[in-house]
Amino acid sequence: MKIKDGFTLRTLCGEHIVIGEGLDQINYDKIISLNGSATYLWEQVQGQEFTIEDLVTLLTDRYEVSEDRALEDVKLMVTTWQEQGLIE
Amino acid sequence: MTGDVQTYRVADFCFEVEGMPFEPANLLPFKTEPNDAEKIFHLKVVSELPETDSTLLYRTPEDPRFHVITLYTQNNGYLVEFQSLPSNPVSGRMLVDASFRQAQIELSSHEKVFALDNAMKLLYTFSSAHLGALQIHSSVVIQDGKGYLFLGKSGTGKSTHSQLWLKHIPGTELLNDDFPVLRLLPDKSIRIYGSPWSGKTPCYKSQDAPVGAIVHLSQAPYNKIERVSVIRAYGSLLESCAAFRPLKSFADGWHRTMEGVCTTTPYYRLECLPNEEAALLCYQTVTNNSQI
Repeated sequence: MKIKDGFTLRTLCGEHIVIGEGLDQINYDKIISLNGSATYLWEQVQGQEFTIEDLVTLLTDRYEVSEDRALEDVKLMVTTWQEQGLIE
Repeated sequence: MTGDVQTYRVADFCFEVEGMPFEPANLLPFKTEPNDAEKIFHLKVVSELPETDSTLLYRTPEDPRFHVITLYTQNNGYLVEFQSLPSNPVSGRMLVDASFRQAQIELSSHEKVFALDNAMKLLYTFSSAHLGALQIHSSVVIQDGKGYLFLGKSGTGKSTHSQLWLKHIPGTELLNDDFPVLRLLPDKSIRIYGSPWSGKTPCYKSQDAPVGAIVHLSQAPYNKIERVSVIRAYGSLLESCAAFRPLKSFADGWHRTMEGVCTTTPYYRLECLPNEEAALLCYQTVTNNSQI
């Protein structure tokens, strides 16, 4: 999977948000907040293909978290990103 | 031709237009003497643009009710085409450098005013992006020395709400009814300025005021007003600002301004009917004044 072109990660008053700024017909009204680990993952995989396993590895390398817990979190996050149309 | 170069000042930024075949009336209140101030852009009307190779970059979403702007990349900048409606032919073509500061426009035989006006509006939006300015699609009133902006999707009743203030709240005056210019100034204060771009309402005022509050309107079968969070305020600005966000460096400038605005300006959401009670509720809340 891959993050769709046209989304930009920005900082708004210390919070991380993703907004549509691309050439595609994206819903510009939509703003998505990302927490710290989601922001980290976004920065790491933006512009490239990735798998669930890649994200789990990124999380377990960076944070003190078990693989099972990381997998759970990643699955939840990916589902949300899919629902919000951020990835393809 | 109306002389060679005309100078205008909008929201304290000067720009120049050269070789206009006529002077649009909406620009007159903003006309100023030639001066040494730095110009945010220079637009020259030419009889024919040089031929260039261009590649389609972006076209505004097609809607049979709205004008279309098409942006192409070319050599050292962009080619921009203006159409008053998707079904109408191109009425102006503009070549502009990558900073949107030096431009030439070729006008067709029809709808010259439309093309010229939109070219200036576009150049203004881009060339002031780094200077803390935003053109916000809104209707603005001035009350007791402060500006109040009403935002919302087209057809929500922004103009209607301003008219209700004018009618029911003494001392209210209309500043602009479509695209005023908002500025985040170096001291972090926020001011709203009249502009030559006021939509269907001919209200072209070279005046300004500190912003008292911004109110995002939506229609409802009742009247209710509440403060909104910074993130919702940002979302409201995002959908209300004239901007082509695909050009990242300009989007960075607008982002900084929007962040400054939504963290310092009282920002409300008003669900309302088009009636006197809505105007009074809004006025009393945003001015913190229970009396008329």
